[in-house]
Amino acid sequence: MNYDREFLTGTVGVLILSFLFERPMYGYEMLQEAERRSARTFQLKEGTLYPALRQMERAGLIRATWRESDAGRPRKYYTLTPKGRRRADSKRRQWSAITMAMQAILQGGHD
Amino acid sequence: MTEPDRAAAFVEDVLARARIPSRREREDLRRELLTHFEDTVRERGSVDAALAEFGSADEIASRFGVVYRAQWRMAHALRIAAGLTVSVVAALGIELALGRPDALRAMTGLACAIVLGFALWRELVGRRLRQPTTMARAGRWLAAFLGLAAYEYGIHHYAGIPLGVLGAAAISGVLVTIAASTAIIMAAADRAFGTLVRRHEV
Repeated sequence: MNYDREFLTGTVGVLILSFLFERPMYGYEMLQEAERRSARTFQLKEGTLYPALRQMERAGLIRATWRESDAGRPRKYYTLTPKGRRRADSKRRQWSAITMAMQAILQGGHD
Repeated sequence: MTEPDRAAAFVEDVLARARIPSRREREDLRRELLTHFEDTVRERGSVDAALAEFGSADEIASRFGVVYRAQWRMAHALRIAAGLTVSVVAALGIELALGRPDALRAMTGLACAIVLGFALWRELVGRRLRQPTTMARAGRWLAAFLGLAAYEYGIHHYAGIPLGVLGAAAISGVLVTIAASTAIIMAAADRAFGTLVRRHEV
């Protein structure tokens, strides 16, 4: 399905914060996770992800370190800073409230 | 061109257009994107698929440009200021060495014109032509030297002032040396500024 880009604006930051809330990840891993968990509904683009990661790193929300992955190859892992953890928590709660409200509105329209 | 070379060329293209002021950040991004390409190629099986997923280099670079816009503008202003300062000091030094204080205004003006011309060239044309190879850089400096020498020879000939090929080459050499030292100073200011900004980041 093709989505209106406006729907997705602002979701990239929430996705990144949500992934990193769980555990440290590297860029490629985030793309795969977004695709897998959304059953390929979300296909996060590299050209969107990496600038967003840089922006969040500069804003002090995430921190990056190079270390070896489980496969033994060096990867740039991102983790949340305390500020990022607070932001992730807040965004997740906001997102849940918005989706519940939207669902209630959409379901109400069909009654 | 081999597949890894094509991926590397794409990354270089993005980096060249992205206006990331800090060399360390550019290196870091280069490493991260190349690692990403290796992963994608391993999974998708070809570099074409990986490049198609990445999208247009111009679009990606412009997104990075938004991230670094403020820092790049400050670094650019700093580079121009540093270039102007050093060029004016160099012009004054040449004045004193030659014992020609009457030429002060002209030399200072020339130095400023070179720096501003260099900045303008870099902004309007340089980024589009930028190649990462040493040979390409040397070629551009040689072209600048020959172009300036031809200009000096032509303008003096037009004005009826005997200069000669050697004289034109000497003047061009001096101008190119000033421009090259300005470029080196700008690059050093770029690195210093990038390090300073990074040190103060969270």
